[in-house]
Amino acid sequence: MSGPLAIALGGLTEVGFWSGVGVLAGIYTLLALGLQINVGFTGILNFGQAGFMAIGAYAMAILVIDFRVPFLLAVLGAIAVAVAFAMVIGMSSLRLRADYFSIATLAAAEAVRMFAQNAQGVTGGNQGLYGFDRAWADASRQIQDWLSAIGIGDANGLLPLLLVVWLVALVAIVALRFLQRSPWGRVLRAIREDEDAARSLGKNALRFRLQSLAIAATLGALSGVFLALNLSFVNPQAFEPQASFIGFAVLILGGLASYGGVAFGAIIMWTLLEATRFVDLPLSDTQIASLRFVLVGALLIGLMAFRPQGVFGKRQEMVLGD
Amino acid sequence: METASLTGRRVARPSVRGRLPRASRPALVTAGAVAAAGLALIATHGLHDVAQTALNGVSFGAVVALGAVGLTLVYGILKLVNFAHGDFLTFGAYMAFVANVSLGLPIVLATVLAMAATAVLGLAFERTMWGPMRERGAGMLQLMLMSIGAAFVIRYTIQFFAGTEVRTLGVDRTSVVEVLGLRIGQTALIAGATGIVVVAAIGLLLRLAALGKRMRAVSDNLSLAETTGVDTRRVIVATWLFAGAAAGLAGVLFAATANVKPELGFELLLPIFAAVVLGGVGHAFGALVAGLLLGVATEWSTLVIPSQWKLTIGFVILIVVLIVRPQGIFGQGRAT
Amino acid sequence: MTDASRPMLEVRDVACSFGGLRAVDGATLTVEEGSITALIGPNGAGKTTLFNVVTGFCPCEGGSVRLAGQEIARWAPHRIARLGMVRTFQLTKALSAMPVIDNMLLAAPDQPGERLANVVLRPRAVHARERAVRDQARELLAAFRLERHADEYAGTLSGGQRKLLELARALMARPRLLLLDEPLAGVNPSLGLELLQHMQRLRTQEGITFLFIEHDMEAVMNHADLVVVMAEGRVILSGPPRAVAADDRVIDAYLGGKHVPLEEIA
Repeated sequence: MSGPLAIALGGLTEVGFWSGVGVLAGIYTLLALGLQINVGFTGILNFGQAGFMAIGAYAMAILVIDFRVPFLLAVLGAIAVAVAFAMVIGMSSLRLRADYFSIATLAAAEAVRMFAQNAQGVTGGNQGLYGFDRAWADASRQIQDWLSAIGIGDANGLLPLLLVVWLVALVAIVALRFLQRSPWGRVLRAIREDEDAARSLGKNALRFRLQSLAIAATLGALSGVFLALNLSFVNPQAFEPQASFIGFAVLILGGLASYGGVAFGAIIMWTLLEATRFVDLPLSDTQIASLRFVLVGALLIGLMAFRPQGVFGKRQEMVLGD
Repeated sequence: METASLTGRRVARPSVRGRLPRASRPALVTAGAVAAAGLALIATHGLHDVAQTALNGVSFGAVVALGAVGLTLVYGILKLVNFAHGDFLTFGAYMAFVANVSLGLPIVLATVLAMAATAVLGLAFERTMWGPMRERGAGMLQLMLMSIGAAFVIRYTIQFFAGTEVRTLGVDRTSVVEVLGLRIGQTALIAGATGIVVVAAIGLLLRLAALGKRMRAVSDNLSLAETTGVDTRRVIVATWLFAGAAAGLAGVLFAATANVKPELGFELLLPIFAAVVLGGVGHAFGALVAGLLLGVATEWSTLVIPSQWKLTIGFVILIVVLIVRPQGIFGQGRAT
Repeated sequence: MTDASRPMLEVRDVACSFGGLRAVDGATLTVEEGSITALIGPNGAGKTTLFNVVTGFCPCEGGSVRLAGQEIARWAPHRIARLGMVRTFQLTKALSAMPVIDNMLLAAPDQPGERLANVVLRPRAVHARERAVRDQARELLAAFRLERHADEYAGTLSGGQRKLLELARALMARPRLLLLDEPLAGVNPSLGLELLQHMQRLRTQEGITFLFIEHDMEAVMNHADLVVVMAEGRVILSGPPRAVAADDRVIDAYLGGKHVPLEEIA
């Protein structure tokens, strides 16, 4: 193939490309699973997942670097901080109308990012933090050795992270499906469709919503931890609201009310986004980066206009309209 | 007002009010709080500093108010939470840049062209997106996500063509004017005054002009307004013209006092939302008062905390308002 | 049956504003345990708002509401429901995006599975209760002749069937007092009669107290022990059906002054 629109297909066959896509897709699967339980199954419009992501990444990094907490414990600590933050937001904002709640969550996420940017002593400001992944690097090498022992080589060392991220994502999907089928999940769906009906039958809507938000915070924090491991450092730019909305694009792509669909959406989304690297046009790097976001925006618009239930969503379960 | 639920967790729609704010309790409480804060600051930092920062704040706040009035009109009349509104400001700033710096036109003409271009942008989105979706009965989440998609498209298309570098408009950024012993940049003064005048004019129009009355009717109840013969299409067009032009102007004014960059609008979006919520959705005068309040609060905060934190004041105010009184100072009804 | 003179619901001087209007303006009424009471009155009298107030959906401004002696004014709706006062809505709230059986299962009280911790830590207890509730639900659906629709989405039911579902679902919640808001509206007469017969049966067999809002005067006359009349936010009179029917005040409230015997309207 030749010509200005040729895509360098060679790039698409590199293992490095796919493992890169895979890691990002796994991270965003976790992020969007949190959105799924909020938006798809509880009916709360959480626009602040990037904030939980940031809390997860920063809390973990600060615990490891400043407090010398062992890595796994630091991850648990990060999740605890994210859940606590979710409780604060939830208690104060979940009683609000849906659109006000979405603005509140967006503001809260931006507040987290601004804190990360300005509290230089704690968060390193725009420079960010690094040096928290030594334990992971060791574990990663160990996993790589196991893989090599069974014959799987690796071009750029991303395979261990890829495996761990997807392991966690799959466990999350299974757990969420299990929760969804439980009586707890049933109440959640009832609240999503008609909160007053649920209340009139004795269900405390606020408590269920808080729990849903806490689960989203946990998943967001986990995705943040993995993003931090992927980048080997954390800085505020990695947690801009764009992340929340790419999460939404992933969510809608896979379909509301489908946990498995989220994984599908994430893979498609990141394949598309990373594939823009290979468009053989005379574009600068900034322009390609800009193109990616235009793509995300166009995708959001297109999906909302033509297929709001996404690929796997069921039309009759769709309670998107207010 | 429609209610979809009974617990007061209404999905009642906010409506547009052009009336001058009555001496209601929230307004008095807010005025009291501002006065108290001001007095406390004067006691600790002296009148000059407080007045100087207040003046800076009014200038900044007027621009925020200008950005907010467009958003509040669209939110109140068309029930659309337009997350792309910040990027309308960015668009206006860049259009002015093209006209003024690239084409060499005088700044006033460039501003008018920028306002017109942004108004056209708003109308274009209405024609291609909002109108059809409204007819299809699209739900709130659908519209919000679409507006976010639009925000991405606008901002990153601009960035695609213009790059990420920070630029400046060809305006005088150094002359300083003395007002009552306080100093303010000449451009900042013009920006502030323009913002206040334009938003007040919009507020008066909503209250007094026939078009304003029609806009308020549509904001209360679209289908009812239609059946009583209000030409809703004209109202919708007028709303987007005002919103787009105000946003474009706000973008130009902000760029004139600061700089032109792709994130311009998004960085202002949350202060603008704060002003919309604080003032009461759909309230033009509310947006003015709230914008000025926010500007002054933001600048006053620099007397107390390091200046890099000053934009967080907007957040604090937004979150406090949402917790204490989500319908804002002048909003009616309940918002829980 | 327990002491028939013990009041199940006592409402004293309760008020509530709604959309700027004082929709309920000092209403007082008493519902005896095990009785079937009808609440009637012209449109806009505040009947549904009264329901909203006593069930916690509308903030109560002053006055007191007692359920079996327990003061519940200003309680949250879900707490009141758990105490045994369950209500239905004027516009049926059958959860259309959920299957009929899920609607029923939702309403059952004391489900350990509704606590997140239990779902993870006590799966056997959750499962056992779920099975018991499912059996109960099917029995109840059978009593209302809805069992063959159990796995269909509630949205596919007809209007009358949805009313029956709402009643069946409310019963799953083990209510002591059931508030029905226009249970016969939009329902065909034979289904309506069925509903009223269920009501009588449930009162006799289970001792459930009923308070229902209705415009269908025949239903009111033939099935209510007591009739309470509201107008302009207040209770203007209450008494046995025949007595209320003949009272001028009721006729005035409905017709604004023209005297036409109620029997001729019913």
